[in-house]
Amino acid sequence: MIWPFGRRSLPPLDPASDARRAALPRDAADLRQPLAAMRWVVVDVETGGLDAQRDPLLAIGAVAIEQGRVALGASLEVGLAQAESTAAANILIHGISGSEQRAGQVPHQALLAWLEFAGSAPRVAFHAAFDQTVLQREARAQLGVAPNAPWFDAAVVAPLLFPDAAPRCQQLDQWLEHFGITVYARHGALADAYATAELWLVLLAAAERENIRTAHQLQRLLRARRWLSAN
Amino acid sequence: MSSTLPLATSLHRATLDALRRQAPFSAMTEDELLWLVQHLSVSYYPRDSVLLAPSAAPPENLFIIKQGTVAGATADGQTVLQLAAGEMFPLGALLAGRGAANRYVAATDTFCYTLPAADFHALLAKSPEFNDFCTRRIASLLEESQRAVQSEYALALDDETRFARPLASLVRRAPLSVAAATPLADALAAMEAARVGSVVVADAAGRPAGILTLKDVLARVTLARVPLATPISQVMTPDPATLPADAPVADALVLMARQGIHHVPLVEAGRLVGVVSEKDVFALRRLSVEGITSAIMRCDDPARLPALAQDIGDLAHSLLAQGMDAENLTAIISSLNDRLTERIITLEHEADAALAGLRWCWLALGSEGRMEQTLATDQDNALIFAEADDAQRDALLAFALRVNHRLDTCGFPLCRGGIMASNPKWCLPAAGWQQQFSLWIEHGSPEALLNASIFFDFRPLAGDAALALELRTWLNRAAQKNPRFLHQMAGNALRNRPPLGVVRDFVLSEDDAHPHTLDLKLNGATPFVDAARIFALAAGSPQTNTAMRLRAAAPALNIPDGELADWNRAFHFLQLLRLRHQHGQQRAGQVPDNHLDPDTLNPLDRRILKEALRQARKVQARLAMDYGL
Repeated sequence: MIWPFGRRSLPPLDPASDARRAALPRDAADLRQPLAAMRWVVVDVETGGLDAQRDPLLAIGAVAIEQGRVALGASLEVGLAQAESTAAANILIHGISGSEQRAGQVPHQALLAWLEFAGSAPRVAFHAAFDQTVLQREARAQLGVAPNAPWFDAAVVAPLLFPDAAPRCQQLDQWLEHFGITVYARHGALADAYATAELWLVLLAAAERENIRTAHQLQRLLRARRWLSAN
Repeated sequence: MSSTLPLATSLHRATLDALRRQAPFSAMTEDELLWLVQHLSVSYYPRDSVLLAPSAAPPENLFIIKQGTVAGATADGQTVLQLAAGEMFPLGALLAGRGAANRYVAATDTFCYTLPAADFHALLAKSPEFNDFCTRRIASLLEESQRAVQSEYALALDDETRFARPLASLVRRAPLSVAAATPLADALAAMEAARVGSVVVADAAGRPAGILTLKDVLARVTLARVPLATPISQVMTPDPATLPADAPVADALVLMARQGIHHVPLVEAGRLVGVVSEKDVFALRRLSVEGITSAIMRCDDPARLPALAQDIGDLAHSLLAQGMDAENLTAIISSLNDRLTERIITLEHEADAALAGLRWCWLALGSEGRMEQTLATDQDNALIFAEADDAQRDALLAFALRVNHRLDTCGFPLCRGGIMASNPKWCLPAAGWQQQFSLWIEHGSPEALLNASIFFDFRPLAGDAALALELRTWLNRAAQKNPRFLHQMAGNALRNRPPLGVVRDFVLSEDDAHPHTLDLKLNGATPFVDAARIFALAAGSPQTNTAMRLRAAAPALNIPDGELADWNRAFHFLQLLRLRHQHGQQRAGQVPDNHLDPDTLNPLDRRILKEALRQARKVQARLAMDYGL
């Protein structure tokens, strides 16, 4: 983790939470290890709106991929207690009732649970920029930390590895349908994270097929592509 | 992560609900299911990728197919299973704690849940429903087990013992050697005549001074345009690397690999005693039925046959280790032993002018007659002849004695009961056999019944088969005409009960020689063999093989296909256990027998053994019903 401020300027926490914050890992994972051995954390957030800078974070759902497998046991699902319920419109999308929202964890505890779960593993999300912005914003606000783990966007990696399908697939649902991935229940943070994780397994297998052996190689490929499309 | 279970998340709930749509999960409690879900992982397998390969090591995971199709194929590539969503594998291998026999390949893009083997066993202990589902389907498990008896130990040990064998055991012929001054033309002609790939140049004391291989000839003679009158010493490789004849095969492998050579002269006290080629070494690993058969057919020197008999044993071990089923395996062993015996008979017969013009037929009896030979087999044979005077009969006996001794040197010990063709009692003219068989049929004494059980499984092996076939026709008619005899045979067969206990699983032997064992032959296989013999005699069938006899008799006896299949499966499982047991004993340097301690079996095999013995009881019940016993 990068600690942008001196220890003294961190937001004050209760002693237990403070100890947990101090124990958060500070080293980034080695991206040069084989893809199959890499631990990935696939995450999805729910917010009270579509503005990543301002709308409140309602819930975090995440699963870990270890040794090429999604481990179901250790999945993360936390709701964040809200001072006041968010707009009814968004509740229709996410199906989280006002009382469920308020019953969530204290925000800094939820963020600690997320960062402890994620550890130093690279993060994966679909349209990752949104999740990354929200989670970093809240980590800084609640805990005063800025984790430096790299983010991978399944929405960018998928068209890179499956260019033929890309024109027909923009949304997560479209990719899932393309690969025939059936998911039980959608539109909860954890369910979406899990669906993204299954998609990520397919993408990892495709990366291996393309002789992409490490996360580092994948990262370089993504940068090169960004540079290409920017020009 | 901590070892305590996390609280159930919505993902756990959703997975639980999805699993619950299928057996056996539908019958499991919520707690058991949640525990299962929280120990699962999800993996992705693109089409054509391998989920699980045959291996000596027990599988690490149970697979439950979440989405997609998985094909299971045997070692020879035959697809035997198509598994769809909700199905689990490899149950048999996990239950038995041994390597999977099948290769599991994704037939479509597939997602699977995986459960670590330790958690699978924990769930078996935790959930009676899950346990029952996994162990209940004995018939399919039996199939899996029959295919799967990939005796983990066997492959590894086979290779070890093979490569630990002395090099001398690979030598099949006297070495070809020439003197240093021999012109190339003569040396090459000698190689051609002997059909070998190398010639050793030896000095006057028989020490290897050089070697020339066919490969060398290309570069050093043909392409170099060296005249064929040149002495071989000018183009040979001087001072070739040699090994002592008693060095292990592994040494030759290492030497060949290090020096890039393909032929190694073997020496004893410095003198050349043989040459092994890379082919000889690797032929060990490529033993095939065809290879051994043709080697037997080509063999002109009876002294070389014991080595071929050893090959048959090695092949049987390797097929056993590869998981071949008992029916095919015993048939292969028997047919190779047939070829070997035939060859011995041919060689001994050709060499004996006194036999010219005689009509005779060599009869295989007992397990060889039924083509059910295991690894521990002594000789059971006899001779039938058309007509012969005393001198000719003596010649036949002398011939039979030579064959019996040859067979003995090939690893088929002489029959302790003297049931061999060289015994004047069992070397008879056709009329003599009919008389003997009639006596047994009419007498029905215990001894007569015992002899009938050995002799009535006769089968022609070499010579004039018509003699044997006529005797078979006569015997079937005689047996059918005498229902009292078949009745007595059935009564005798029923005295031998499968050792299933009322209280405990098995009734074990209390005799001091083999405590805490059951006799897989007498109490396991024999009830099937005896019943099949009686069914065949009653039906007038010419078959001698137990499975064939049962199949041939089934329609007349109105035995349903399913029941017949169960009987044969059970019989072959027992035969397989015998083979595995004997294999283990041979590897351990013990004399193979049929006394198995069931506690040495894994839980799956124990369970199947119990089921097989129950099938033996069913066969006996059928026999009892037919004969009102």
